[in-house]
Amino acid sequence: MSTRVCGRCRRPLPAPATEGAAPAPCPFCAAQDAGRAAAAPASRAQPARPSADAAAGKKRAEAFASALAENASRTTPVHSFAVPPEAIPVVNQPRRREPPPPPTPPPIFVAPPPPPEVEVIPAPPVAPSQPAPRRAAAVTATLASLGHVPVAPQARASSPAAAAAVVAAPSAVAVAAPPSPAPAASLAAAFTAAPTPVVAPSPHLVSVPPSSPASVAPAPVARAAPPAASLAATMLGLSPPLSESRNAPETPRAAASAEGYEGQRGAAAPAERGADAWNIGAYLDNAGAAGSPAPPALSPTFAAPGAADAQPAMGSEPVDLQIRSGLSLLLDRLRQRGIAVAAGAALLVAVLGAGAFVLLGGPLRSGAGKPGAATASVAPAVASRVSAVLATGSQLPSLVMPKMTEPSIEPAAPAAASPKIEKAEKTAKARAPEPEAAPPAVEEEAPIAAAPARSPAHSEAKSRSVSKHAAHHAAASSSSRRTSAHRRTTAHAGALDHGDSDVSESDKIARARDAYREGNQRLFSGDAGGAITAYEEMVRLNPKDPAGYRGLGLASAQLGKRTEAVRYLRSYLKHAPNADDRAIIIGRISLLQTLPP
Amino acid sequence: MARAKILLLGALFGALHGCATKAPPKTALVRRDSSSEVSVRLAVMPSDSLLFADIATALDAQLGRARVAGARTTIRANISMEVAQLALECVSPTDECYAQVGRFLQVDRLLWGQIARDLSSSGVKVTVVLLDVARGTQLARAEEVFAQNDAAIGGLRRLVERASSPPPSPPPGALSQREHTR
Repeated sequence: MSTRVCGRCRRPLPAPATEGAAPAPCPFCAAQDAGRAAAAPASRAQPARPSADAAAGKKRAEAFASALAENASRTTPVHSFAVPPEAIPVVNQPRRREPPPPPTPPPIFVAPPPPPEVEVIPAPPVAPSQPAPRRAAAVTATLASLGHVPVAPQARASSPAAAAAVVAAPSAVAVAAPPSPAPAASLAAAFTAAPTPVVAPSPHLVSVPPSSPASVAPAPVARAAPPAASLAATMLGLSPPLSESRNAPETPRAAASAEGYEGQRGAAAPAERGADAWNIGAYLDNAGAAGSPAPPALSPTFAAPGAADAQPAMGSEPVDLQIRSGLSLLLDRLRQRGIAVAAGAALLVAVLGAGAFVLLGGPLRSGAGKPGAATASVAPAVASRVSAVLATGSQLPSLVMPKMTEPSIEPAAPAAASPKIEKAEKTAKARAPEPEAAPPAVEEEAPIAAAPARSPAHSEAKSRSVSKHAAHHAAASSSSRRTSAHRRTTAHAGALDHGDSDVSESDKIARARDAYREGNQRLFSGDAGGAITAYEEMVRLNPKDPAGYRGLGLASAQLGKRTEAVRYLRSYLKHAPNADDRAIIIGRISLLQTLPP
Repeated sequence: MARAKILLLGALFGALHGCATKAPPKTALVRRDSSSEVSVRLAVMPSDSLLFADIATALDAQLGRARVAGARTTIRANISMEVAQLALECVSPTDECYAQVGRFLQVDRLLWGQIARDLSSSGVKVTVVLLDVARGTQLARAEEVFAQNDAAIGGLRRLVERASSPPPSPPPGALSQREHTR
């Protein structure tokens, strides 16, 4: 027979009732824990989070509410917006990055069981680094809050190892007692008198101090205390699932309102709503509760292999809150199925084709019958069509555009004049006599002479001057310059006589230049005699122009008339003493004079 | 599936494009008349015979026999370059004024010679110039000073050949190549 000792007090444990059964828990430690539980102050049941954390929580809640209000004013759907970092609670600390805390000798669970409730849990061989298994706390809280109300059986079954590490081990016994404090000795005696005490796999016995009496619902007294093993089994079997309670701490008050909270969460799964939204929503739900306890850190023990990690680990970095609307979901589905790309491409092709048909189809088709249609004529047509389309407000009832007709040059006559306009025209015709024939154009000179004259003397003089002018211009209409001069002079046919001198002066100058050009033409072509004639005409028309004398000198020199050439060249120098070619003319004069005859 | 979509879209686009547009009309290629380089009109202007009549007569004879590359039509002017400049009132000895004379004569090339007395050596300076009228640049220029008139008359042929057979025509925009000989 092996002697077992208590892992806590190192005292020998009592022998089990039957051979092979689990050893009974240490009665000394149980009595000590019962006495400690009775003397435990109420402050131990206070939330672990200090008041400073509560203030920070309120601050975060206000920041998040302001962010929501700011984004709510937008007209466009917001799929994601940034949440200020101060509005994001730190719900998940980095789990495995933190260095393991120094091992605490006796792990004490702060759970809200009823005051007399004592949980004797065999401690694992190695003391856990994390303080309290969350599932154990949840089970005890659920048991305390629900009392005898039956709950749904637990849907998620953890691994046997995890269950054994929590409370589901057959050695763990939880005794529900009336709220009235019971003596520790009687409890220990009752515990030891259990018919089938289960031997814990580990000799550690952990005492769970009771929480505050106010937050614990009274357990039914009428029910007789069932055997410890069966009670624990019933608790485990009837405990609610704890899948989403990992990050949302289950306080006794929250457990009391768990039904409504679960209803809200049931509307949308955390995975669909977004992990951040779930966290913030859970936080907001608990933010109003003053003194809400801090979320318990996850222990590696509770990282059940089958349990899915519903929320990613979040630090203090800001994260985008994704709120998916119906449109975004639709687009997401379209994008996933590749329909959006195909639809967009088809729409683009249709638009391009329609535009090309409207803009280019008509002109090209209209010019297709013409063999000589060139691209140069297409471009203005396209431009005109584009402008017409833009001017008409781009009304495209169909892809087939009517054939556009060129606007007529002559304005269309009105279909029917208004009676008022006709009446006014008739009145004007009756009042005013028939007007004379419109004065002929200036170029038409014959009607001017035939026009009726009011004064015979004046008309006679004028007719003489007009006929003289006409004869003069008839002789001077050979060249283009003369034609222009003729037009200019004819335009002033009705002017006074003193203007004729100016007109003739300018006309003479122009004719003189024409004569000079003609002389050059004849000189270059070898007709020096004709050139001399032309230059003489120029000198006659404009004796002040020295170019005529120079031309006469050059042409005379070409003909070998040196004396005349020298005479004309000197005349040129006399009329143009500051000419640029004076030196050249002087040299030629000297050469002409020195050459032998 | 994706390939089928692409093919379907391509077919749709092709159908719309084919209905909306037509083939562009065929445009005739504009070929540059290469014969313009061949039909160069050359005008040979006589030298002024007031100063050195014998040299001028010999120079006119050499200029009349000159063969300018690319020139198919050669005309002989009736007046010298100096008289032409005086008549056209552009007497500065610049290529611009020379080109103006060429434009008045409606030719592409101008070939003329000038005879002057060299003040430094008391000799005769003969200059033969070939001008591109369109560009207004001198294609060739041969200039030589002779001590006597006979030497000048004997060296006129060489001068005219040097001036009338310039190196290959430079590319457009290139400066004219002047040749100075003494």
